[in-house]
Amino acid sequence: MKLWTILWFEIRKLIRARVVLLNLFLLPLLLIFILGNALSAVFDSGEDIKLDKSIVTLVKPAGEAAGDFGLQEFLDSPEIKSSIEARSGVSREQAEADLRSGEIDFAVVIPEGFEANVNMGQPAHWEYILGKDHLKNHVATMTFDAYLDEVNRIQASAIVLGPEKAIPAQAGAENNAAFSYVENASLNEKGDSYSAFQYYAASMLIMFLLYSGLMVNESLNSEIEGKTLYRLGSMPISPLQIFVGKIFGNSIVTLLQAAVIIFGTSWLYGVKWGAHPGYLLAICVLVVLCSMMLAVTVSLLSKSQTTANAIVQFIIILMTFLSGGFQPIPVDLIQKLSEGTVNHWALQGILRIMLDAAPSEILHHILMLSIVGGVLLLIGMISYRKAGYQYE
Amino acid sequence: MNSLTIAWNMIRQIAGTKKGALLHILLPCVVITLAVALMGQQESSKARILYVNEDGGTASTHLLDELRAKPDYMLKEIETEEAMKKEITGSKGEAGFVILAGFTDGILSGNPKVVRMYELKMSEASITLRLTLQQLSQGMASTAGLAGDKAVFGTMLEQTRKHAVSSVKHDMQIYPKPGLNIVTGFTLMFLMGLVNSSVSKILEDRRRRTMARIFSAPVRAWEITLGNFLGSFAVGITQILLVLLFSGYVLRYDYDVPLLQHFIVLGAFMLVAMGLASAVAGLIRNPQNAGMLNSLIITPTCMLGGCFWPVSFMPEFMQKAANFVPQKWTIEAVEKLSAGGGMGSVTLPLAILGLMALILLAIGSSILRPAETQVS
Repeated sequence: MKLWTILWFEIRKLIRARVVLLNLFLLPLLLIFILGNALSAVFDSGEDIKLDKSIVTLVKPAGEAAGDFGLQEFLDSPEIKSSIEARSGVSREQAEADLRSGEIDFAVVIPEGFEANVNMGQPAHWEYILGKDHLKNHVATMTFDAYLDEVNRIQASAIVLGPEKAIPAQAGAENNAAFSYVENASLNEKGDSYSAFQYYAASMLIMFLLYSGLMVNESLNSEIEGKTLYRLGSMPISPLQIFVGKIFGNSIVTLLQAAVIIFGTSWLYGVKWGAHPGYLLAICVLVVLCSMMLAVTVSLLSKSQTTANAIVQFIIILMTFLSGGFQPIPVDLIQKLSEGTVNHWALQGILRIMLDAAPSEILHHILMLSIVGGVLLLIGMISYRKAGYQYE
Repeated sequence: MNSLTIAWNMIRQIAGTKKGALLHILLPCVVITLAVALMGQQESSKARILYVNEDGGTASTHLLDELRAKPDYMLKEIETEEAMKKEITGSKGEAGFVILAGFTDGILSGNPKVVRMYELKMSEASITLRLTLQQLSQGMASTAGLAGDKAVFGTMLEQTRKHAVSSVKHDMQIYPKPGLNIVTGFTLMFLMGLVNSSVSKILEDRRRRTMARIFSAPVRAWEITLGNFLGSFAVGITQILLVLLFSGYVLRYDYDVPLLQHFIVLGAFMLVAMGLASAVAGLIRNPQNAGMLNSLIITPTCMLGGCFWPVSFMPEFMQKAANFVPQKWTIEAVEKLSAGGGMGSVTLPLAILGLMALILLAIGSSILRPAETQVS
């Protein structure tokens, strides 16, 4: 009963505090808003993103006609025009100077006799000069390589079939351009749509839940700082009850936060959290347990509250990083390390719920998470026995 | 002089003891460096792409050969589609695709089958892979249209693979090192976390009323402000220096940026981060919650500022919003330096960072109000 009083007071206190409301509702929603909008271009169309136009100078040999192998048509096609603005250049030196000054993004130098070489079936090469922007270099290289591949194909056809037959190739190429050869498939087992947004939604949920451990630290510590724990000591209530009551109170508020994030993302942005709410809840509860135990342990074992908070924050960011919460990192060593983190098992578990994997697989991750949680609980209990929660 | 005493006291408090120096300075720096260096290793190498080839015909072989020849990908064959999905979910590869059975026949007969592509999360590699697959398939379809029968198609593809017509690159090394934006982004994220700790030290001073005592001493208010500022700045600068030296000289990660210039840019960012942390702390009454709020602010601003993906991936209005976060300008400055632009090229980003620091520190200096020791 006394435990409930502490618990209920803790909840009321938290819900009334401005900063908690900020943490609970505003920040997750802000984060989700940024995520949703930042990557919306990619999620909506599933196509390449619209990048800034690259300005490209084409340096052609003097005296040669421009219309070789449909280059002009290629440059004029709406797809290319949306990403590349082609200009004709005077000389290689000029193009290099323009690249250095940043006036143009990329330059192509077509050597003399290119057309003739291609027609005779000889090797022929264009020279690309890379500019200042890595991404634009990449896009331009890919675009012009696509054109050269086309020329290469025509040449190959001409070598194999003879020149007459190969010429209509260009016309043919234009016709099937509309067909999409690549389809975006869903990682979901049932074929429901899955977007990369879900990945971030899951990893951010876990990170927020982990941070909430700092709230309980704050609450425990404020009783000591404000000397109210001293007063509580004169009450018929054991320190353990206060301790546990505070942890439970904060856990409930944290689960409320999880609900805000999950429902917020699913209503506002249509993030699908899978068809197993029970498993999802289990993971959230376990993460909250880990979060509380981590924070409490560090806090009990360190002398200064500031140090404790700094350590907990650092551990959270590091675990999120290792588990690929910000960016999946396919480096073997990091993957190995990540298997010791709370985030890894929670994230992989939630992802599998979202992807509708077999229950046994989801349960495996939940089990591993419970083991991590159990270990943390044990460490928490030991450090409570050692350090205790009392007014010194 | 008084300021220096205050600053020195602060430094001693944070890193004065062996344990403090280890915990606040050395350990975080080593961990950051290791994480970032491992990250950088992956970024510079090829993207890991998984594939399942159910077809095994001429067209699929051609497709895979051509992809292998590209410098951007490292291909790995997986037996079944199910296994591949599991690997991608476990982030063992950046993206994957399946060539369905009958792909070659489809191309030959003019009723092509699509290539099925999977990704856990979009990345530069997955976007370019999609484009490349599309182009290769399209090209093969045109070739097939001309060839007519299978044998000729095979010969034509073989001839195509010789790449008699191709491109050569002339590299003047004027672009930033690929992947540097992400490496810088993560460094900034961790640095912001470190800055938090020195700001919460100031808050602790306030809470314990040490600050009120300092104010009662014959010291001017501006001297106290300057002292606190210098103290946390010195700590931050040391951390940056350690991170740069460790990564550059011990782990030999090549930033491609001159050390001093890199240091100046990151130092400017540190000022802004300090300003941001103290401004947030100034707005919030309860000092411990302020620390938590600060760390929660790090992630959204990092996302917006292009620490996790290039700013240019985002829609127009988000790119404009990114102009308001310091990370964007810092990354831009580091990239410009990496491209060999020299200090002259980063005047604008540095000026903006300086302005941000000025405004935020002005707002943030409100945390130095000794009267507010309140604990909610």
